[in-house]
Amino acid sequence: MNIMKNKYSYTALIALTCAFGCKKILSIDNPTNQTSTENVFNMDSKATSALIDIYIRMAEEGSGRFTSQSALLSGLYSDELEAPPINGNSPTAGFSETRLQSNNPLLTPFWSESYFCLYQVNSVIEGLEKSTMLSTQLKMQIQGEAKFLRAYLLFELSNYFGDIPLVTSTDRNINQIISRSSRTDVLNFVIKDLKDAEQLLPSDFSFSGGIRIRATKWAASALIARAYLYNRDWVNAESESTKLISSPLFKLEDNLLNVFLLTSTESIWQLKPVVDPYFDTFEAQFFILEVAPGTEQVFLRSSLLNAFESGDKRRFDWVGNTPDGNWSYPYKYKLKGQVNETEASSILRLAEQYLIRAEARIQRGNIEGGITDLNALRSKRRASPTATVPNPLPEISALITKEEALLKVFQERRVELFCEYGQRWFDLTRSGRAITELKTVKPQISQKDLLFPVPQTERELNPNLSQNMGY
Amino acid sequence: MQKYAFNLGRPRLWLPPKIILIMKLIIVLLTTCLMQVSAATFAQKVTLQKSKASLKEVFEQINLQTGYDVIWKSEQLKNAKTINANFKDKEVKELLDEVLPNQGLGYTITDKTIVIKVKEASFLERLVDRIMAIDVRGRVVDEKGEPLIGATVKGLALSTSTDKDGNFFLQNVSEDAVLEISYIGYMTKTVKAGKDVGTIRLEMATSDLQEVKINKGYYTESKRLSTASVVTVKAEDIAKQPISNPLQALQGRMAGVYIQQESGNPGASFNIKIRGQNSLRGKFDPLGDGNLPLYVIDGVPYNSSSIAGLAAMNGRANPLNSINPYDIETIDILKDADATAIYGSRGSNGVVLITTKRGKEGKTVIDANVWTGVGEVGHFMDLLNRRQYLDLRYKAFKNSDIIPDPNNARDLVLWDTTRTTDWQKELIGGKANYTNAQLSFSGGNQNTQFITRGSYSKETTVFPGSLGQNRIALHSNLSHRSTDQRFSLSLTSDLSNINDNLIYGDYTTAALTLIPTAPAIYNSDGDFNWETDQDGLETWTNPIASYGGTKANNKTLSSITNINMSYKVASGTEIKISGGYTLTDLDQHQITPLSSYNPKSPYFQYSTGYASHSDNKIRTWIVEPSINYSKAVGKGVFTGLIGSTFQSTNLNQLAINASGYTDDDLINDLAAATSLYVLMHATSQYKYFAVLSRLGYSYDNKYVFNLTGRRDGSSRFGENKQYGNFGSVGVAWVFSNEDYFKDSKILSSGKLRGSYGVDGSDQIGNYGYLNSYNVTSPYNYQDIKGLRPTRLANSDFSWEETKKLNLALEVGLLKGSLLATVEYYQNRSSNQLIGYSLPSTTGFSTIQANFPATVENSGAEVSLEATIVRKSNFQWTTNFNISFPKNKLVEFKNLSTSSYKNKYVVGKPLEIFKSMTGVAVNPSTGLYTYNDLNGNGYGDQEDATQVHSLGQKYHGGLQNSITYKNLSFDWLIQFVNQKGRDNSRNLSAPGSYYQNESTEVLSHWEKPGDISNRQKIGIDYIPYGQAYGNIQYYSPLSIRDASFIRLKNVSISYDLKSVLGKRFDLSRSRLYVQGQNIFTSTKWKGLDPESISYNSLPPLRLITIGLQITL
Repeated sequence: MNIMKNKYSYTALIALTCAFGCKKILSIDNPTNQTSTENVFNMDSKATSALIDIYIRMAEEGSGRFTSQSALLSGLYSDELEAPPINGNSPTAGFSETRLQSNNPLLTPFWSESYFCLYQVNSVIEGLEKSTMLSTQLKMQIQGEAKFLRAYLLFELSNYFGDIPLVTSTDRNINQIISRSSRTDVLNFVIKDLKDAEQLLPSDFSFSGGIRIRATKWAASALIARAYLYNRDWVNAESESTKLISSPLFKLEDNLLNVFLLTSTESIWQLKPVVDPYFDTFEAQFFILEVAPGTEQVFLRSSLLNAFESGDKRRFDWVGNTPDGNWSYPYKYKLKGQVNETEASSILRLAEQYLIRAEARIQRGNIEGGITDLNALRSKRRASPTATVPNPLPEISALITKEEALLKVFQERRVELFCEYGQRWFDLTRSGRAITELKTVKPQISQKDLLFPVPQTERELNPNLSQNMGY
Repeated sequence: MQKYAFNLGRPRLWLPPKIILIMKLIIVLLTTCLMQVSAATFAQKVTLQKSKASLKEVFEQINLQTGYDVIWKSEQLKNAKTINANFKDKEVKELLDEVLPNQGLGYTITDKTIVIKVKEASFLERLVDRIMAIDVRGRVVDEKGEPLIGATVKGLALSTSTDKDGNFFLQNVSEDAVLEISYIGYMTKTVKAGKDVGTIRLEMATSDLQEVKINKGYYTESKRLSTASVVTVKAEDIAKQPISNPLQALQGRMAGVYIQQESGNPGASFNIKIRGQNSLRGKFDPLGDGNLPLYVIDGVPYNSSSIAGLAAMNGRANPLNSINPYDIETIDILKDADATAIYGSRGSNGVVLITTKRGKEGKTVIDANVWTGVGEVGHFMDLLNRRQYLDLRYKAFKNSDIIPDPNNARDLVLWDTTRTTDWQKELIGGKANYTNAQLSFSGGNQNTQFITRGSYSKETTVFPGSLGQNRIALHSNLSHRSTDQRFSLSLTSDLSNINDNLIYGDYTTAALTLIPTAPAIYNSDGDFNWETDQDGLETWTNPIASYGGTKANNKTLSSITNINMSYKVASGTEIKISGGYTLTDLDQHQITPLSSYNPKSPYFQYSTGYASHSDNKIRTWIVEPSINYSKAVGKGVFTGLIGSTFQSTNLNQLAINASGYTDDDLINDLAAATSLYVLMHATSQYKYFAVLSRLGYSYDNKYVFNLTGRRDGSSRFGENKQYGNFGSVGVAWVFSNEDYFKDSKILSSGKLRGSYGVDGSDQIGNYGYLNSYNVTSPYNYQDIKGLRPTRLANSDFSWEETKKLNLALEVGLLKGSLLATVEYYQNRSSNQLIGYSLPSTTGFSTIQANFPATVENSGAEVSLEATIVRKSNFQWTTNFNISFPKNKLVEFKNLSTSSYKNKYVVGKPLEIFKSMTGVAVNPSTGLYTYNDLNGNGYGDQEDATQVHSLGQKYHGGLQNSITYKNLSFDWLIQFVNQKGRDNSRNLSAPGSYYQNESTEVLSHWEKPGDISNRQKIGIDYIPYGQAYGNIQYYSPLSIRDASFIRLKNVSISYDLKSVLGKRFDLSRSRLYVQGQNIFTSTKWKGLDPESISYNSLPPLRLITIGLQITL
């Protein structure tokens, strides 16, 4: 009896105590270094920070995915770069020998870093939708930048992987079991986002202090031009690239050494390096060789070196050699290990727009117009005549067939855009020439290799994620 | 004291002191008379017929025939004459009255004790006696010298009981009175009164062996009636070991507790498993280790998780390093639900109760203890010597038909091949110095006791250079109990400061892998030797330059202050309140100066020095009010406890990286850095609240029933998931108290007990439910800082649960000279708090969630305690324990899609290794083969399907303590049966790279037909590197027997009291030699089977010599 009585009083005691303040007893302060999501989108400066972080994440070492990693892996996977034959079982060997497997450890970050950034983009877009306290102009600009970045990320992913999950919200319940959307649907979504962005974004660089490290209307246009080109929509590709070529903001550089500087007039959108203590690009950090390449280092394939015509200044200014002359490396970015904030990874630049328009024009039958664009670019890439090369990088005659002209465009793209974030690889796959062109360096290449496999771990975590053919 | 209490303005009744004295005397005398009368009523009869019997013989016969103790002084009988005894059934009193007066002697009888006096005291004489009454003090201890609390001390009509330190104080006792000291379970003893009777040692009685109090934190209970599973290590066992962390003291001594020392570096971390691993989150889980026990110091929970500062040599610093082990009186480990449920939410991994030393009543004692010694690596690996190494390399080149050149064989072409260095000797072969000094003052009176202990300890490493750690600690306790025994207060403070210069990483890997012909560490001019090639690039990694170039300075300041107060409101009801405040500051600095780079390198121009600084502060306060109640109900006793806990912990962390230093002199100055960035600047808060209660009922000392209930709230969970309910039921049957066992000659005690209950865990990070943004990246863009979503918030997760079942049999045999405990337990942890893996399309790779995975730990434990010899100058006791732990992952939904899929297998233990099958050296080609299950041509995780259980099959210890006169000899043998992974194989194909190897490699395949498990030597990737690479990570050959039997501890101590005690007033002084990890027998080929690792220094062999003086 006694025990029972006590039990009751004990229960009553708990009930009383809880009624009067269990919740309060356990209430804690939010950590000083965290801000609730709601607060972030109620202040201009915080909302800006939320957006800026996406650029930072893209430029960070861990996700070099958007700069050096993208250049490296696509370069190895196509025919630009080669790894020294040190360890045949290494993850990079999977790329350089084109026997990529879905469990390659370099593949997962290549996929997941994009989705981590996409989550942030969607979080910003959703935050802005709910927010009522931001200034209209800033809200538009952030929305525009977010949409541009979302389009860029999705476009890149689908170029590498084909069909991909089209993630457009932060809802875990949806995203956890999302299936892949067709490449066409992704492309349509990308173009729609870019069109929105084009409307929302400012048309000059004043808001970013004159340098071109944030998305503008022009960045949206440039990416739309590329998207149309990849989608074989020649009319729109030509009109979008014309916008950029005719804008006074952009001009091909006379000096090749200026092309990849922060001050370059060719650049449309750059990612500024952020990682201390270098403050220089990962491209320079990674590609420049002081001595023979070691493990985890790469060098330029001789086939690419041979692709440069004589008198092409790009061969001299954008290709570096080790002191012993045995090894060459991409040398577009020259500052390594210095605190010198003058270079930035140029992701969208004017030269590409010339090449887009040239290709679009030729495809539409305007061979002369296309060749004019090619020659305009070549005139800026020409070395001075010398005794041995009296006629460096000669003008291309317009009196050629469409097929010949298109080959000229691809050749020009190869030497202009080498080691720039998958450009060569995408050119090979979209033109259907990948297998024939790569057969010489990679005898075992087959149709399935044209798309990266969806990472195995991702498929294990999401039963609805299908795999590309052949993997 | 209350003289004036009634003096409310009325004239005080004046009584001269003399009158008061007389009144006092009258009362005393009356009492004495009554005593005499009662003594006279005894009627014990003696028969003795002997001529010329001495008085001594008479007394012996009285004792023999009646059981009365007869006490006399030998000088009293000096002049006694013999008598012709002829007594038949004579009453004792009559006999004495007849015999003694003739001899001029008298006697008194008190209870069953007869004290012989020079003369029967006359009334007057007795009056004088009373006036001369004295105050008696003394101390009662058991056979081991431990205080007996609550022992009854009777002197004539007065009686008292000993306090918690065994001390008693009895006023107004006749100088020649006899004290009777009794305690349940012990044989009653009588001593003659004196001002200070010193320490009285009681011996265990033949039954009721276990009237020992056990500590359960909020309450204590007698071991005899306990329903819980608790193991204890006491100060005397700690004192036998030269150690620096309290956990070291427990190794091998406790059934069900496995403690692994992870390295031999000062301040090394420990892996403690109390009845196995419950949580899927192991030591290196990004969400934090979910398997830490709860540490409670002097009743106040202590933060046990490592502080996440900068990585250091000793791993993540263990907070217990701040406690000087020699300040500890007892360590109790609570294992089952009955014991741990009172800590409910936090007891699922067991509870470690640490009780620090307190002062003892009596004269002020000064205790000084100093020991010093050296530590060294106990066992080196058998590595290739210069000749063996070079032969292997040349053979590799020959087999591959490749000419060594500077690119593929710098060791053979560029380096001097005639050099020989024993890198183990060079890098880990030094002697570590240990010094430990302690000085304490303690003492007090009946009401108030104090202790203050200062200690200093210093440890260096076996590495080159002057790396080391020192700790200064101050422990103090003040205890007070009011004269009416109602109020008590105890204040404890532990302050410590640890200072070390331990760098990140240690030299063990280098010692095992550097080849015998590797270049010298220093040039002839004393600079670091980089052995550069023509490009200025170093051709080797100079271990001292690359690690030793880094400088570190770490400081840990810790302060623990506890206060415990209690007040007895009424008989059986006591209100208690305890509170504590704990402060931990960890301040770290790590510096990589320019001088640690190769100056000839073409990269040197880009190099700058850099430094990392981190400052971490943890503050915890806790308040625990409780009420204890006990009442006898019929033949039973009812006990109750209700209480509550309020806890709050705040954490502040700051970590900064400073870089761009071009001048090493300025590298400690943050202002001189060209760039600074904040790696972390965070605060976090944790709050915890609980109400708890315990009800107990024991009937007739035979049947015991305990019920514990608790409701806990933690701020780590989302708003509606904060509270959890926990509880337990414990029952015991003391069958030896049943009538049919009462007279058993063999069985002296026996108990069956069992318990079942639920414990919990909230060992995860704070704020998992919070939807927020934070600054994650140290970088900025356009001078704007970024804000990033912190996590995928989840407000639905809640407490992890462990259900515990425990059954035990305890028996004492042969008058308690053999005590045995056999236990069986089965614990199941479910609702596991883990980082649940998500596809990256969700934006994160994990989310904090409960997961329906269940881990089962079950097993049997046996403890034996035997007293082999117990004589006054020769004692021998033996303790033995063995545990058979079994661990199993019972359930894990969708394991194959979780991030744990490669780590765990349902139905298997958590500690496993998955290997490939068919790994062997092909006798005809000499190359490794394996079963390529997924057919991709490479050995990978998917081919690893065979599951091997690692971890302990059984473990235990055997301790022997022998004391012969002044010499004590104590040794502990630890034994562990386990499997471990030999990860030394994670090197490149043997012979293909300039890296040293175990001599086991010499048994490699040579010619067709050879059967070997080491493949043919060769340097080219195809076929050698490829074949090796395929089996490298998932080979079953890496599973090795890591069982060992180790002479863990030896202690030889010589008691100096008999030598020095006559000249000095020494109560306890000894000279001792102690050793740790003295000898190990194992098949393990690596440095040490306990730490298993190939990358960190093994626990050292330590020999020390010490001197303790107590004044």
